[in-house]
Amino acid sequence: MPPSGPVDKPAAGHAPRSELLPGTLEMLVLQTLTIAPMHGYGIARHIEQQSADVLQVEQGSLYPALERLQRNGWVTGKWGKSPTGRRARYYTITSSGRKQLGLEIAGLERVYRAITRVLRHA
Amino acid sequence: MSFFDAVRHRLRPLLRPRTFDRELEEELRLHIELDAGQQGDGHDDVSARHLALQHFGHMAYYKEETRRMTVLGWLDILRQDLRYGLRALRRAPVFTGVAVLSLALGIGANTAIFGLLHRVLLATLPVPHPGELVTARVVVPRGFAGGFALDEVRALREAPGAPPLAVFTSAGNVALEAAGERDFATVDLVDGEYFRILGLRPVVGRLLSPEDDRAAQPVVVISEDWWDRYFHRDPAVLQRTVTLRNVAFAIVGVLPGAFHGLVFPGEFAVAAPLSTGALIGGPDPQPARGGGSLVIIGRLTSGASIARGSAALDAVFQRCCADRHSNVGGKPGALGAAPTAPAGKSAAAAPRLILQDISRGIPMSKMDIRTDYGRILLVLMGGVAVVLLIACANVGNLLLVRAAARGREFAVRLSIGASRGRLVRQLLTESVLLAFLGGALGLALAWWATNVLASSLPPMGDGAGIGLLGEIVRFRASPAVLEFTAAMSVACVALFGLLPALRSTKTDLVSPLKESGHGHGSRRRGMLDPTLVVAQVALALLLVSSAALLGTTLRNLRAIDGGFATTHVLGVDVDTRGTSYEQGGMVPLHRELVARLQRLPGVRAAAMASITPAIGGRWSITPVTVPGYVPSADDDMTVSLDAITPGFLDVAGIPLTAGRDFADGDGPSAGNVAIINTTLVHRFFGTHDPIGATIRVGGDSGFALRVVGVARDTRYRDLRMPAEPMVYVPVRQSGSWPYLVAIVRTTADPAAVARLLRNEITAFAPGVRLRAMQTVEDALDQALSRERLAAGLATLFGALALGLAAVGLYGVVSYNVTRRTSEIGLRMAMGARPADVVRLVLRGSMIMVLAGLALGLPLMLAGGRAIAALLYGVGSHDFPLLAAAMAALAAVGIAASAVPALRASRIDPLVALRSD
Repeated sequence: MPPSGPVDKPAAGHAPRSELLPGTLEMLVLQTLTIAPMHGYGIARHIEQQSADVLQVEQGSLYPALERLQRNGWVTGKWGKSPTGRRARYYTITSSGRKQLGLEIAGLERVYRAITRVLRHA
Repeated sequence: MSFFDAVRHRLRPLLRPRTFDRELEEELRLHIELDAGQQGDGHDDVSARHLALQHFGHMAYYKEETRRMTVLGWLDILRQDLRYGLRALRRAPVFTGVAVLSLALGIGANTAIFGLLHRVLLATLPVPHPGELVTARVVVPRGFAGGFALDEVRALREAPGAPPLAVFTSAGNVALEAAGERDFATVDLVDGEYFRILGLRPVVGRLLSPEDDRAAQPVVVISEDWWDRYFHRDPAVLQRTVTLRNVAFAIVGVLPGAFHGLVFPGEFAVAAPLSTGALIGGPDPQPARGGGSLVIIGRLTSGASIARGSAALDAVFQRCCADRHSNVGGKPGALGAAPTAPAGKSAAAAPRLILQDISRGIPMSKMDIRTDYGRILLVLMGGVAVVLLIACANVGNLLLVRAAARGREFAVRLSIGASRGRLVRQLLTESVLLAFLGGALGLALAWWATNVLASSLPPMGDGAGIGLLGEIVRFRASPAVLEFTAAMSVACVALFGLLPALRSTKTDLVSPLKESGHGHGSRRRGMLDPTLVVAQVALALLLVSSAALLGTTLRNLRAIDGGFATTHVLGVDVDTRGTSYEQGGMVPLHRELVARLQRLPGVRAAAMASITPAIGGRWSITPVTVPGYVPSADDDMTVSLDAITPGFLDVAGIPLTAGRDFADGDGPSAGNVAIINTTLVHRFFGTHDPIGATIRVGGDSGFALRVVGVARDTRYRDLRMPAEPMVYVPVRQSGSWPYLVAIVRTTADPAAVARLLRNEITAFAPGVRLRAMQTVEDALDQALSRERLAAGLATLFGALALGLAAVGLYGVVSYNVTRRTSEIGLRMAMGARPADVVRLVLRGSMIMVLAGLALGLPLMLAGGRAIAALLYGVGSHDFPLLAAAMAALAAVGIAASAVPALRASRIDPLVALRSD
C-alpha cells in the first residue's frame, strides 16, 4: 500500500539539491553568528570562504534556514545600517541558540567518530 | 528572546503580511546587489547580476520556503491535514455517520439542557452591570411584609449614603386595545428613575422620564414583542397609541426584546408612568390605609456593598416607616411571599429593611421556577452529561477499530519517515472534524428539539400562542450557550480522540507489516477496550433506571383521584372588567347565562364558579370561626372560599356526602348558606353534625353562614397536596364577582363544544372577555408539565443511552468476531456446531454486560437517591422497577450481540482457514 498521507515534501517544481546533510546548514549559520551579528549575504560569504568552497550551498537556502532559526528562538533579526550605509537585517545568535549549537556539534562529532571507527575497521 | 517573542515572530506574516513580504524582498535585493558587486572587473552590471542570481538559486522557491517556515506554512499543513481528514472521513461514510450522529445526540442534548439551565438558573438581567441591582424588602419575624408607599420611598431616598432608588408596581388585567385588537395586559407602572437605574436603551424612541411621571403623561413604552405583534415593526409606531382601560396612551418607545421584565419568570409587555396608575385602575401608590404596593429597586454604584446600603436605608426606615410594617405579614402564605423566617423566634423583633441582589430578577412569589425546576434541571444536566460520556465512549471505540484497521497504513507512513507527532496530529484533526460536525449538528438538533418541546408545553396564563414555560424552554443561541457547545465539543475530542491517537501510533513497525492485510492487528494493540463497553452499560443503567422512576412518578400522579370529574368537563374564564357589565359583575348575568349554556347541543349540564378544580379561577382565602371550636395559638384558621351556582358540584363531579346542594332560592333574602368540605368538617367539627351549624367567614365584619351540605374533598390546586378546608357559597349571596369560570359537562368530546360555548357567551353578553378555555384533562396535564418534562426528557435520554450502548456493544462484538474468524473456523472444523459458536460469542458479550450491570448497580442506587425528592408514590430503591431496568439492559445486550453471533455461526471453516 502506498503512503497516502501528507508527507513533508518539498513544494512542487524546482527542488535544489543541497550537498549538506539535513540540519547542517543551520548549524553552520549558528556557528558563523558566534563571531559577530551579520546580514544574510555576510553569513553566506563567510560559510563559503571558510569551507574553501567545498560545501556547495545555494545561497537562497540560507533564508528559509534563518527563518526556521528565528522561529525556534535561536536567532533574532533586527534591521540596522551596513558599513556602506545600506539598510540591512542583522542576525544575532541568542543564548538558547548557543546551547543548541553545542548540542548539535556534540551530536555531529559522535556520528563522525562512529563513522570513522567503522571505516578504519572495514 | 522569550517564548512569546518566538510566537510573535511566527505570527508576524499573519499580523502584517505586507510588511513581511516587503522586508523579505528588500533583504534579498540587498543580497543580490552585494553578491553582484563581488563579481570582479570582468563583468558588466548585467552579467554580474546574472551570476549573483545563479549563486542564489531559485528566488521564488526560496521566498516561498521562507514563508513556509512561518505561520503560513503551519496553516498550509493544517489545510493539508484537514483536506486529508475530510477525505478519510468521506471514504468511511458508515463510521463517519455513526460517530457524528452519536456526538450530535450527546452534544445536542447537553446544549438543549444547558440552554434551559442557563435561562432558568444562571441568566442575569439584560442590563449593564446587573450585579449592582438590588431590591429593598422588609423582613418581619414571620416572612416578608408587603411593599412600600410613596411617602416611604421619599423618606428612604433622603437617607444619607442611600443608593439611587426607583420604584415600580403593576396593574393586572388592564383592558387593552392596540391596533384594533382587544386583550388584557399587565401594565408595569414605573417612576421616572426606573429606566435610568436599569440602564436600558430603547430600540426605537425613548424611555419614560421623570418629567413623564411628574406630569402624569399618558405615554407608554412597549415591548419589542408588542411592536412586532400589533404594529409589525412599523417605525411609525411612535405616532400610534394603545388604549388602556379606555384611555389613549401615546407610544414613545420600544424596549429591546431581551428584556422580559424585572420579575422572573415574567413577560414585559408595556410600561406607563407610575402617576398614570389611577387612570387604569392600578394600585394606589399612597393608600390611605394598609400597606403600599410599590417595589423598590436600586443600583449600588461604584462598589457600594449590600450591607452598607442596607444599613443606610434601614436607619431611616426605622424612624419613618417600621411601625407601619410591624402588623403586616403575619400569616405565612397569606401574602404569597417566598421564604418564611423561623417562626416564633422572637415575636418582638421589629421589621427591618434589607437589600437583596436581583441580578437574576425578582423571583415571582407564587411560581418560583427556580426552585420548581432548578433541581430537575440539574438532574437532567447530569443525565445528559452521562449520555455524552456514552457517546464519547462509542466514538472512541469506533476510532480504535478504525485505527486498528489502519495499522498498516500508519506503519508504512512511520517507516518512510513521518514523525509520530505528525500522525497523532493527523488523527486528532480527524477527531476535531468529527467533533465539529457533531457539534454543529448537535446545535441544530438542540434548536429543533427545544422548539418542538416549547410548542408542546401547555400555555400558561392567557393562552395565546406559546406560554411562559414554552417561552423559557425555547432555544436561544446566546453566546453562553454557544460557548458551552464549543467547550463540549473540545472536551469530546480530548475524551475520545486523544487516547486512540496515542495508542494506535505507538507501534512497532514490524508486526502490522508482517501481517496479512485483513486489518486484524496484533492482540494487544488492535483490541477494543471492553472497559469502554462496560462503562457504557453501567451509565446506561443509571439513565434507564432514572427514567423508569420518573416515568412511574408521572403515572402515579396521573392516577391520583383529585375528587372531581376529569373527563368531559370544559371551562372558560368569563371576565366583565373593562366592559359595560363591570358595574354589576357576573351576578346579574350568571343565571341566564348558565341556562343558555345548559341548552347548547352536546352540553349535559352547566354551572359557574369562582374557582373550579384543575382549571382554576380566583382564589379567595378567608378566616373562619366555627362554633364550639377554640383555636390554639398556631392554628391556621383560614379556609378557601368558592362562590358557585346551584348544580356546580354536580357538573364538576364533586359528590355531596350529607345535606343538599344550593337551590335557586338560596340567597341574601333567604339567609346566608354554605356547603363545606369533609376536611373542614374533620378539622373543626370532629364528630359533631355540621348540618345546620352556623360558621362565620371574613372575620369580624364577615358573614354568618348556615351549613346546608357537606361535599367530598377535592384537591383543587396541587394533586400532591392533601385537600384544604373549603367553604362553598352561592354566587348570589354576596359580592359582585366580576369574573367567574363557566364550566360545562359535555356528552361528547369537550373540544368540539368549545366554539359553541364561546359563541354562545359572546352572543349573550357581547364584549365580555373569555380567557383560558380549557378541559380538565388539559389543565391536569398542564399542572403536571414539570413532571412531564422530567419524565419525557429522562425517557428520551434513557433511550439514547440504551441505543448508544447497544451500538457500542454491537461494534465490539462484531469486531471481535471478525478478528477471531480463523479461530472460529478452526473450532468449527474441529466439530463445533453453530449453536456452540453462538453461545461462545454471546458468553463473551454477556460477561461485558454483566460487568457493566454490576458496576452500574451502585450508580443506579445513588442516582435514585439523587432524584428521590422528585419521586411520587415510588421509592428510589423500588426493587421490581430497578430489576426490570437491569433486565431490559441485559435484553438489549443480547439483541445487540445476536447479529454478530449469528454471523459467526455461519462462518465457513474452509474460507476462514484459507484466508490467513
